[in-house]
Parts: sequence; structure tokens; C-alpha cells
Amino acid sequence: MSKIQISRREMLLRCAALGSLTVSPGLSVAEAATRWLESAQHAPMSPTPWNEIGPFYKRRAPHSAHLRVPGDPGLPLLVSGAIYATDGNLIPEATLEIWHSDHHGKYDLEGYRYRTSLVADAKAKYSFDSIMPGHYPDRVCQHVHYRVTAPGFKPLTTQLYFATDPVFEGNPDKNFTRDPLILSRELIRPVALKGDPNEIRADVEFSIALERL
Amino acid sequence: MSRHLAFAFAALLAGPLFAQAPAPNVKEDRTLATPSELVAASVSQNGKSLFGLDKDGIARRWALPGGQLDRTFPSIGRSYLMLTSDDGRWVLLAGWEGDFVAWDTSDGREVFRAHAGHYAAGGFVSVSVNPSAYSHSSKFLALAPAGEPVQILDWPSGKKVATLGAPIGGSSCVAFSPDDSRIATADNDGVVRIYETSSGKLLSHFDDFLLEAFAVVFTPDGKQVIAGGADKTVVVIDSSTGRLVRTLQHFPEPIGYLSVSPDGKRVAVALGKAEGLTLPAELSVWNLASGKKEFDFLPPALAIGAAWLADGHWRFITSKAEAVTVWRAD
Repeated sequence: MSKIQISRREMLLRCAALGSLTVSPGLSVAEAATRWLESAQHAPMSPTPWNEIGPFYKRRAPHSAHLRVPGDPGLPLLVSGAIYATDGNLIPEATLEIWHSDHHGKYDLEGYRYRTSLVADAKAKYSFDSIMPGHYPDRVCQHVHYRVTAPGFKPLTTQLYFATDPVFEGNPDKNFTRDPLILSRELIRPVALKGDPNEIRADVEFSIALERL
Repeated sequence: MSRHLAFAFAALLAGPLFAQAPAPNVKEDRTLATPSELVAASVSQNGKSLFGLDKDGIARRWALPGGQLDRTFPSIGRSYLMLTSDDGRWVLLAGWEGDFVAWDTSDGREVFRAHAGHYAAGGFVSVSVNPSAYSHSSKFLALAPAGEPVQILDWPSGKKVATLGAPIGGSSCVAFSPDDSRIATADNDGVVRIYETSSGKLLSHFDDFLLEAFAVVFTPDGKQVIAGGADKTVVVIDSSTGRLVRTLQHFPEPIGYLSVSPDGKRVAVALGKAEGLTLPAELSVWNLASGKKEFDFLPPALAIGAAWLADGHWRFITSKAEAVTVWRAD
């Protein structure tokens, strides 16, 4: 028997045509098939590990994805990701409050430098550009703070760490416990260097999974 | 920097003060030999017991003024948080692995053990921030695992009495009212909340801070709550309504510690530098009626504990190598 080679999308459309798949009024078959395929792409996920909120969370951060201004010292950084439920479904329009220190490890308490409040888009994606934070003296590792909320989901505070942090000496698997506040290796993300040599940038992917209430 | 150092709030070599306030009278009250350097310490309110926690997680008690070591408590592993009840009867340690263990100091018996999902909240700043605390009568214990709601337990049974609200990020500091009927929390969402102890019912809240609140304390008459944090202000709040009564001062650095004298007339303030909360920073004492500073200074060494004692004088504690010193500041 020859192997049937059709896409899953084509299969769904044929099912609809033959009556073995029905779609509620107001929803097109094509749209329904698209949504089905998107949701099926993500398997159940573990919730993103908790990490403590502080220090220096500040309310009412501005809504800007561009934290770096020309001339800011420090390695340019681009962080992006998506927000999921632990069942693998995307969570559009979750709110992410994000903050970190400057290149020297100093937090802005008076103003809102390196602070933002973002809303994930309709596809649950977010991104921001900034600079690689320095080492805050009271912490071992470079980090970015997150406070993520979405209706119907448990709020999450966590922190993003970087596999390139000198503290890990190239081996975060072995050395992540050097920072006693890092409770999970999962929070340490690989760093990709992109761009041309004169304008290099660190790219980091950090997607987040929230638990339902 | 390991977390236990968050309880030290200043280290400096020279004593003197900043301008504009009289020189404080800082004198050594007592120095005792210790097996190792301490990371946290406290004195019972009657001044008769000194408690110290070393970096190996071993807590000890010395009798004052004689200085005899009269009790050693088993290590619970890495620990950075030690609570003692006002009367020195109970001591509780919280460890990095999420364990809370308490002993009756009169006979050394372990009386309580619990495990939380996370390590205990310890604040990032200064000494005696009391992220967890015994009530004044020792009738209750408030426990705050980092990022989690505060649990009120009946003491010494350990039975849960109430769970307080769940601010995102948890609480940095808790303080019972003088009659233990209420408890205030300095929360990491910037809000100061006041609850009924027995039920966990929210009674009032203060919502004007933009940054985290790190320290909170009731006045001895229970009518007001004094709070401060990363906003660098100390505020006096009506404890019934949560409304601002007045702002004491805008400080140059975050507020890490607040404590009111037994007569209600003075408040001790310890700062923490934003660039590193365990760096040397100013201590000061203020007159609450006038709102004026009585004195400020940088302590002679890293301070690991502080309290107003029943004699009305403020003490702070330092430790170096194999000695611990209790200082008095007037």
C-alpha cells in the first residue's frame, strides 16, 4: 500500500468536506483547522520555575519594548519568547513586568531605566531590546527580573539568567548552584551572538509557562 | 553574595557621624568569645540572653551579663535566618532548603518543624527585618516563605490559625501590634497591609509606595504603623485606615530596618545602599513627635542584629572572628 502523503491541514479540510469534522457557525473551516494545528503543536509543559521578586520591583513601568538608547554601555541584548499555559496552549495578552540593572549592576530607583511593562501580542509573543545587565553586588549572577500575570493564571515571579555568565565558567549545568538563589537550571538560557562584528548583539529566547488558577 | 549577609547592614572603620546631628554616644556593652563568627544575632528584651547564629547554621545562647554559653542548638544545615521571641523562650531557624525548626530554649527541646516550598523570606537589607516573627506574647508565629503568603500559627502548637493575603512576590517583613491582635506586612508589591491576626482578614492598607516595602513596625500604642523601603522614605500610617499621617524624611538610600523605642518616642532607622544593600550605610535615631533626627552614625563593624531593650536603650550587635559585641547607642 502506498503511503498517503497529505498534510495534516489537508486532512482536516477533507474531513470537513466529508462530514466527519463539523465546525460551529461563524467559524470557517480553514480558520478552525489553523487553530487546531497551532494548539496541537505544543505539548504540556512544566510551569516556569519561581524565583524571588526582588530586589527593586517598581510599579507603573512604561510600556516600551525598547529599553536601550543609543550610547548605552553594555552588550546589546534582545530577549523574546512566548507565554504558554502548562497545557501547551498560548496565552495571548499576558502582562510582563520586566526590570534589570544597568551595565554596572546598578538599578534605577528614581526613574524607570531598564524597566518595562509589556503585553504579549495576539500570538502570545513578546520581545524587548536592552543591554546585558551587570553583576549586582548582592547577587552572584547576572539576571533579568520578570513578574508575569494573566487572568485565570497564577502570577509568576521569576528571573532569567545567562549561560554566558562568567560565574558558570562555561558549564551552567555543573555550576548554577554557585548562585544560591538559582533554584532551577531551566532559568539559565543559552545566548546567541548575532549581527555583524561592529554591531554584535546577544539574543536570548525565554518563553514562560503559567499554571492555571 | 550569600543571602545571610543580607542581615548585616553596615561595616565601617571609623565611627563618626554625618553633619547636622549631635554625635551619638556609642559604647561597647559587652563582648563575648564565640566558637566562630556569627551571621545573625539578637538579644532578649530583658537583656539577659544573647542568641547567635553562625555560618554553619548552629545557633547558640549565652547568658548575659556573665557571658556563659548555656545552650547550643543542632544545625539544620545552611541557615541564615534566626528568630527569637521577645522573652527569649523560643528560637527558630530557617534554612536554605525551606526548613523551619524551633526549640524551647528553657530545655533545648525541638518543638516545631515544617518544610516550605521555598527558603524563608529574608529580605535583602539589614538586620532584624523580621520576615517572620513571633508575636509579642509568643502566642503566635508568623512564617513567611519567600514569595508565599504569610502563615499565622498558634504557638507552641504550630497549628495554622490563618493565612494572610497573597501579594505577588510575598512579604519582606511582618510586625505584630503590641496586643498581637493585628499584624502588618511590608509587601514586595509595594503595599503595606494590616490584617486581623486571628482570621487573616485584611483591615487596611497603604498603597503609596512605588517600590518594595522592606520594613514595618507598630508604635507601642498600636495606633500607627511606621514603614519604609526602596522608595527611600519613612512614613507614619494610621493603622486603622491605612492613611498617611506624615512622611518622616526622604533618605538617601533604601530603608532596611525600623524599630520603635518602648516609650514610643523614638524610631531607629537603618539604611541599605541601593548599589549593594549590605554595603556600609547610615544608622539613625529620630524623635517621632518632632520628626527630627537625634543622631546618625556608621557603626564600627558589620552589624548583625539590633533592638530596643526594655531599659529604653538601643543596642546593635557586631561579630568578628571569634567574638561578638553588643553595643549601646544613645
